Amino acid sequence: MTTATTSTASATAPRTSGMTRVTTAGLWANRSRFTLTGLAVLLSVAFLTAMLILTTTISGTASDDIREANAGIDLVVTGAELGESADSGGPRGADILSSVVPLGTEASLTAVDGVDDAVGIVTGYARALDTDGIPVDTGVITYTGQNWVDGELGTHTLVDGTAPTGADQVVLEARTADELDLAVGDPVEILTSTGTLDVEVTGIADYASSGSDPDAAIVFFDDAVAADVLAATGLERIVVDGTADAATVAAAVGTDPLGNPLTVTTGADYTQGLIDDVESRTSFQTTFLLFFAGVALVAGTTIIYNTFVIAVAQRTRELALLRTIGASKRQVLGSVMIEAAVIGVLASAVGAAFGVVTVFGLISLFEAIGLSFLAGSPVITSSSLIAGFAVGLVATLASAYAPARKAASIAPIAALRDSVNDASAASIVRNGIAVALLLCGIGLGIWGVVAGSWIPATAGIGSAFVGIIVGGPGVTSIFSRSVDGAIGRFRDADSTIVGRLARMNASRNPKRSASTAFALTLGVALISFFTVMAASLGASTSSDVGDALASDLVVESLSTGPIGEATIPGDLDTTIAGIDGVTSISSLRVTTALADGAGLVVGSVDTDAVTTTYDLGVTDGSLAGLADGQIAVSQTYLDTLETPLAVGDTIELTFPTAGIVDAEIGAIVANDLPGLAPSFIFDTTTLDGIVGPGLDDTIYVTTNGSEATFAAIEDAVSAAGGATLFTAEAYADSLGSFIDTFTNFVYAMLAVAVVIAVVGIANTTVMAVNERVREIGMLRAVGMTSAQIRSMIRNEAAMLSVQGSLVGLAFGIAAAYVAFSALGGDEGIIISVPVVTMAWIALAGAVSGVLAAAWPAWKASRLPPLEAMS
Amino acid sequence: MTAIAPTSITAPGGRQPANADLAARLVNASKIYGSGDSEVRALDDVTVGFRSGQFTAIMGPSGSGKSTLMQNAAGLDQLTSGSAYIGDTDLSTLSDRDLTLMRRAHIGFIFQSFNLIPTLSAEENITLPLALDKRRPNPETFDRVIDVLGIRERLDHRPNELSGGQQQRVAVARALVAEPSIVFGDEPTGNLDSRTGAEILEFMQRAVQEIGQTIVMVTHDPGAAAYADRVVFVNDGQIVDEMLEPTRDRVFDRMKAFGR
Repeated sequence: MTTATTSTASATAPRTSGMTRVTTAGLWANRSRFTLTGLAVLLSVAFLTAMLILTTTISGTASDDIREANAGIDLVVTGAELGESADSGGPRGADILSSVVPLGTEASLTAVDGVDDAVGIVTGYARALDTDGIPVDTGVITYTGQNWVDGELGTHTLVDGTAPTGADQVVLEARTADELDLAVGDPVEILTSTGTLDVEVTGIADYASSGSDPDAAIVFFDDAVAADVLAATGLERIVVDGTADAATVAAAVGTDPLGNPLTVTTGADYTQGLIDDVESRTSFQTTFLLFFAGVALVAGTTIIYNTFVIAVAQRTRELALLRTIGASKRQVLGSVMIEAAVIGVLASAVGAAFGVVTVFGLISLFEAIGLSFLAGSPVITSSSLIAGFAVGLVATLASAYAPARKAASIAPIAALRDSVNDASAASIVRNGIAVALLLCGIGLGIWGVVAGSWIPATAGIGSAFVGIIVGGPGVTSIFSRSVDGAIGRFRDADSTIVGRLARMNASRNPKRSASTAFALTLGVALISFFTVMAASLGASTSSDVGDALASDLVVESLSTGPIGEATIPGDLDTTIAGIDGVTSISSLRVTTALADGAGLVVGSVDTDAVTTTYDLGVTDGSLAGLADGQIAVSQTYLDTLETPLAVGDTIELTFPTAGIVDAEIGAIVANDLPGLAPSFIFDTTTLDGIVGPGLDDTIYVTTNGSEATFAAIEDAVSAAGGATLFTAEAYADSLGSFIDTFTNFVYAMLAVAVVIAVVGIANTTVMAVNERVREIGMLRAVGMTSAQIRSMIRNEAAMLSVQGSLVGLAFGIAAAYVAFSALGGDEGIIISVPVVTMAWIALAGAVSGVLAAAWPAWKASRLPPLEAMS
Repeated sequence: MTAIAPTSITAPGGRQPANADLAARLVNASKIYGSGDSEVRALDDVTVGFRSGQFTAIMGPSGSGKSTLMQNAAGLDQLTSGSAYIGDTDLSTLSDRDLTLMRRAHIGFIFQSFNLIPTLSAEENITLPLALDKRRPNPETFDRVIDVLGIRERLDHRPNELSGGQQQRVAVARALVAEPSIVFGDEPTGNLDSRTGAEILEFMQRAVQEIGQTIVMVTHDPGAAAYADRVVFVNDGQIVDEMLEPTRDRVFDRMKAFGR
């Protein structure tokens, strides 16, 4: 369409310049209308650009950095692949759980022909603490320690200081050092699986061009001490420099501790694997962000479309006059499209620039609501700005195109007619289709709920949504009439004439009202959907835990990253146990293992004490007498097995570092510990014997309830660092807190769409006022006060916003109910509709319309009665 | 109805007319648009009164200021200087709200382009000024007005279901039903064919003769002006002449004089 406009412009230059003057004059004359449209475009584009910048920040440069950092590696030796990990619990959040390479294996490669250098990499848990003992949060997914590797095989290069020597020196990544405000020579405390270490920063290193590995915040130790410090029982990988081929190296390195052959990959494949991991992990986040950008864009596009439809309708006579005096269809089309282009270019350009500001605002907002996956500074690339601009311009032109076509099809004769208001509610066919789609949606939805199947459920939601779009004008008419009828029944028509005028005005042009309300419907529907989703998840989690928790206090790890990590120093439970008034304590430690090739989280507790702190609901066997080599498993796991197992049978568990353990089922439990579902629970001494000591994930404490005891525990927890103390009640609630964080994030994202929708209501109202200047003048002349005019316009906008939010609310709740009944039935999700929150959403939606109308209402009330004479 | 003595007007120096029996009047009224070289005196020190129960037509060439005169007398616009009165109330002393309430209660309007609310029925349009005041029409007045205008059958219709003449009858009913002390008409027959226009003018005349309604109407049509009791001629923002018991031909001749 742009090309059409351009070619028209060049082909008929002299006359087009006349048309251009008509266009620009029209734009200027209608600047208030186009200001709001421009604002809608601007907001959409700013948000989209911000989202593009964020997605680039999350994923954009990671692949380049990974290639650069690993460029010197020719071959990589890793453990054998064991199976899929549970909850991305593998190294660096990878989906595959691998065994380890035996310590010292790299020595077997030095004599191999074609190997110039081979370095074993040991990794383990290590995280720098700030001066208050709080683990650093740099927004990465894992925190690890590693041996420092110099030269070509190292991924990092020193930008300051020197490599670490001995057990009391470390090199930090630049991002960690920045976050903690540390420089070379500063002391720092490092939390590891064996406790905390007081060390000195001897160097700062960069990962490729960025300050940190994209996945992990790494603390580097001296190669000589790293394995000890990190309590590593094997190498994570061996990196090889040289021309040797993979087969030769594979033959030389032998097997993993389990007897499986080690995996040898080329540096290129290994690098690609890292990139794929990052992309698959970030693609969820970027998709999610772009989804919200899309929602905002749809809301914005609706408004642009609406504006042009109304503008063309209002200018029917003017455009027909142009046709009468000889303007071609193409010129009329062109003049509308030029208007769209001017608005699109200006608003998109400002919007893209404003997007940069928006990014910083969003990052602060995310921090405020406790989301840290975006820590670090945004990566602003010109391609994000250009893409935001281009999408905004194209969306503007595309949404103006249909109205422009309609403008071009206006017959010259229309110049002689009074402008006709398109009051057609909707054809019977259109309403019929809408009803059919809705019924179809409801039917499919019921099927989905009853059958617990997501395909009909999703189809039903989609069908009903399209039904709402198609049936919008019909809904507007019915809504206005029923509200009017309902009010008319209770109140004398004469006493509500202002309200009645408003209600009638709202349905004066049902198509226009419906598409204005649609933007709000969309926003409110999504908000309602996510609210029900969050409430349901929260209700499901909290109620289970609240029932089973028997301790009165819970000490939990500071899991500020997206994946919960154990951060409680291993000796804190002993300290608490020694406090006067503590009657019972049990600590949960977790690790990963595999059974039947599937990754699991395996935990350990003091099985003698756990019952007094957490009711696991033993249904068979005995937890208290759980012997070495015995395991407690949950019934939910046993139910998934094809051949049922009972107490006394054995489960084969594969630990990546320690190998295969045959565990005898000593107890079967009904309840699962939070974060450990389904349960695989050893006694602490058993698991420590298998994988060695580690950090505690959670400590459950039962006390005599005295305040002195609580205060002493509080002191111990804050002194140890890496842990948070909760009362039982607060703990159960906090398990839902990630849901709150998520909900807040979703609300913030959808707020943009709602704001755009409100701008749309303001815009439609402004245009309606402009269209009815004479009528408003007449009302003023026959005695409507300014206050009555304002009330009328506000009521009119409220009709749109109430309709938009009620439809959105109803659809959102219904869709959430269907979706979670169909999907979550098996998971025991309790569907919960938070009535009060919903009422607030509906109220906010309705009030938003009144706010949106404030300015047009004021403008309308200032119209002089003389307008009736013009 | 017997001939009504002319109200004293156009006295040099703006002698204030006696306010007895005057439904509306302008005193030393000036309305100036723009300033400096582009200054336009739409009204130039006009003093005029409109007696209760009289049907007055205001005539003049295009741009003479006749519409400005009526708009200011009706409180739709603000004078640059001088005063406009409805009854004994000086409109310039009223707030916007009080002025609105004054229009609602005491002034009726008939517009050239009917100006009905398309979403309301004919009856709702007629009672609109009263409804804005949360009042109901006096049933006798309502019945008399709609019967005289012959629109009883059309009360439930929307304006777009009515012909132009029917719409203007509804507009006339709207102006009359609140029993205002004065009705202002702005070319009320300008958009109607001559036969329909004549009907409307007859209704207006009957309203004056039968219920003593005061009507002031701006028109450029000598035929329309002939229905009035009195014609006031405006030119260059000043009242230049008046005529009692006008006929179409006399008004036509007088208007032709402006051309010279």
